[in-house]
Amino acid sequence: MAFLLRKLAHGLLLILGVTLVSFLLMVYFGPDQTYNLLGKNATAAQIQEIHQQLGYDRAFTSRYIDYLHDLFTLQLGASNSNGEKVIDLLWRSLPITLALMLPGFIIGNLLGAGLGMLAAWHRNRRLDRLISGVSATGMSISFLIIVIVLQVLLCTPQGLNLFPARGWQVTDLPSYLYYVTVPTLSLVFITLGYNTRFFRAVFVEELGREHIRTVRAFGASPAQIMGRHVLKNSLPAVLTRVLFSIPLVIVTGSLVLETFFGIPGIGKVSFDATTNGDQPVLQAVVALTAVLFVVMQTLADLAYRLADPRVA
Amino acid sequence: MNPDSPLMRIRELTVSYAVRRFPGFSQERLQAVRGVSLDLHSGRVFGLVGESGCGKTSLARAIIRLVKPDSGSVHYRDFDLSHADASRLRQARREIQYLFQDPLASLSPRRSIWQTLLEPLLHYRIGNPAGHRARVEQVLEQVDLLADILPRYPHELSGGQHQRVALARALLAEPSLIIADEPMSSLDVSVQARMLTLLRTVQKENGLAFLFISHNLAVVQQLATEVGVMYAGELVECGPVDALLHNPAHPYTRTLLDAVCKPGNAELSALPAGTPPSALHPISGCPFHNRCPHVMEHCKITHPHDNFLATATATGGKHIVRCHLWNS
Amino acid sequence: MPGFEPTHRVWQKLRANRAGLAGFALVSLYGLIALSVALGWAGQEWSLVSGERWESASSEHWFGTNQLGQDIFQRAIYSVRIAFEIGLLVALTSTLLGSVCGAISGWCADTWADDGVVFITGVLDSIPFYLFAAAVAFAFQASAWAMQIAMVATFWTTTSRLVRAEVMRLKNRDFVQSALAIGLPPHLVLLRHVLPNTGHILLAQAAMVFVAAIKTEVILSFLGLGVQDGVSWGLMLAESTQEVLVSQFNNHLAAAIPLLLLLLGFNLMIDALQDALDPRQGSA
Repeated sequence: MAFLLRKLAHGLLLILGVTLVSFLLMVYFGPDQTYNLLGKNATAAQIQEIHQQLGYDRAFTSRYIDYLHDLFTLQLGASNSNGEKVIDLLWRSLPITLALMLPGFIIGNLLGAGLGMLAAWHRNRRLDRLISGVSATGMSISFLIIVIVLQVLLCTPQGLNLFPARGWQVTDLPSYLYYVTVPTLSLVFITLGYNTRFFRAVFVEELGREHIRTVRAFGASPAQIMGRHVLKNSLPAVLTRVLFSIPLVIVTGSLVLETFFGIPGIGKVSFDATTNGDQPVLQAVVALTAVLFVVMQTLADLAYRLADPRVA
Repeated sequence: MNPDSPLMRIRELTVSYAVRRFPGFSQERLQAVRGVSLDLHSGRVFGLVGESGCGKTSLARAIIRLVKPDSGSVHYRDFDLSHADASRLRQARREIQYLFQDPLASLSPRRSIWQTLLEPLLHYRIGNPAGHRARVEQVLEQVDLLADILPRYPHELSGGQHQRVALARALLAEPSLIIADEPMSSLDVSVQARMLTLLRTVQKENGLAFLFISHNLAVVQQLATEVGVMYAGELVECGPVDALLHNPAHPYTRTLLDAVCKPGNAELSALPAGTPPSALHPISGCPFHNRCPHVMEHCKITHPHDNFLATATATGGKHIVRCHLWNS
Repeated sequence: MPGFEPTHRVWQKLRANRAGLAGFALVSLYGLIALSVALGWAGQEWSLVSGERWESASSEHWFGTNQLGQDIFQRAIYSVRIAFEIGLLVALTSTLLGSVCGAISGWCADTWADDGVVFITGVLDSIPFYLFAAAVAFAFQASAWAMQIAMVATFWTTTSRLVRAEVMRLKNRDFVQSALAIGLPPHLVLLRHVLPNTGHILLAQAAMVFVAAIKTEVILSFLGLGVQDGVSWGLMLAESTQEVLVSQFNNHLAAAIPLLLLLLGFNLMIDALQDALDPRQGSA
């Protein structure tokens, strides 16, 4: 119980911290929005009115408290570029991002776990060297190059030209598969090196333990050992990493993939907001993802505690 | 200064550590040293014995303020270390040197022996730089080391050499008191004997005061002029070495001596039966009452105070015991 | 004794690691190229329009020309300098910041100073990097340093956390206590006895930050948040996203291959360094 309270207090503090950072960067020290909203030929009265509206004339704490209030009641304002309410914009784009990223995220983790397991089982033998070498190379390749190469290979007349180079007109399952395949492959390749390395390290650690070596010596089959002992014991570590990486992969991955493939999800929305200097949209995305990350982190801590009561 | 007055007077020294759970939440305190008083004299060796975890090291570290004591006072010569300003403390630290349990660990791994030995000379501005080399070689000779180890690094030396380097470093500061915290526990038995001889010679030659800490009563016996016995953070008995060894007053001291007398039992970690009370949750009354063969009803309730024994001795040292059996 | 690998053993192990040596040689080669560009010996004509659009490789234009008729070889060479500039600046700054904050935090463990540093690292780690970079770019509008500021602000936290843990471990070691016992002031103890023993962490971490900075530059430049005026592999790749659709691959390859080789070299070097500095591994 004390543990729960401590973790919650810690999470709340972090939420205050991340919102403070986003407030400082994007609102308090952020660029003056006056002329963006009014145009160049504003009258003095208009300027004063907008200053009052934006709170430029008020004290730091009262502005920060208002900011928090707006954030947690989801009063996020309207986009500067097209006037759409930010909350509607996010609700519209979030499902697209999830639909886009989830298959790649899941396949990437499963494949990484499989390869990591294979490498760990054959530790320091040729197969392990091969897998480790390929994943090290994979980590040396820039995301952008992977995406460009896949696009050329699969989506252009120079390559196989099987899938669309850009866009997202999803109505049913075939059209979903048509648009989601190349981004999914990209995400899998981008994350595979990191995933394999992580899972290999976890499984190597677990396989090295005394009780596993004992079971191995008694001649249990690889499947039994992996399934009953290794997987079960490494679950907390794996779960933590997966939970932790959800916000990061979804946000970072979607920023690059959606921009590249022209898919109107959260990533594209944030990208457009960045290029247009659309402050309400950008600050909502930054603050909300950071808060989401903290929540995930706290949940992961709690899950870890439940799975492994020894952790103090 | 009166030749009979002690070099260092420690009174009612108490040390505890905060055990922190979370910022802003409640703290628990671990009582390491509780109201210890003792005197150290020039030219004499005070041996401090006790089981591991009884607070010996905390006491030693609190004396030179590596840890901050909660209360009590430490007087060195004329001034009060607990209220000394920075320059006074620095002066005192030059004169009070410390030998650590693990000599290799006490030498900075990425500094050569020469750099390590030079540090006290530079830091305390002893002698002029031109004479440093000669001074270092002179002290090396005193601790039976050759000058060819100077360019080497700690990991290239043997265990015995480490402790000699540490001793040389201490001597270079020209101390009047050396606090040695189990300086031999990490050495081989054969090396231990030679180290003991060396320590005794160095102590006699320089007329040093020694606070020698050990869990091995046999070693202490060979070196010490006075002995103190610590238990659960308290000094339960102290006095001249003969008095204490031949007429042990505290039941705990007696069990320690029994342990030493039994062959093959020079270490006292295994005895006596039972465990000392936890430093986090001290027990009421006398801290030894749960293991004491002579336990009485009020031992469990009242904390004993120091009793002075009349059987005091040739050296004029006082024999003090903290036990209800000796209440007059 | 655990935790310290004598310097000469580290060298032995490093020299025995062939992949690591190859990586080191590769990185050195790039370093020389970067230096010669910085000294004005090569790659100076990166912005000059010296030919037609999309010329193919020739003795005049080794890698051909881009959409605007600029020499791709010149641009690729000049990008090495930009990559090293960004990598070195970000690696040095974040290592400095991380080691100072980590050292203070570890030395004063369980005090308000430590709580403060731990809290700040926790906060910065909770904001997804590219969004943080976007926010910084937004806050420092038109500043050429927004990218570097965002990178340093994010990358120093890992260094800080590692140094903090190591300093906490070292602080209770007897050699630090004995330095304190002779009355050396804490800042000197930290400087002379503690920080030299975190050198291996700092070295490996600085190299990793260097790699991360170069990779991140590519993404940020593609997103329009990176190098503002000039040329870099990221900008070349961003240009090439249009060109590859019409079968012009020179620009893409001229950026992708050097980038891949540099990162590969660095990763090999870092792995060798970590193996050599890890005392648990037997001697090579």
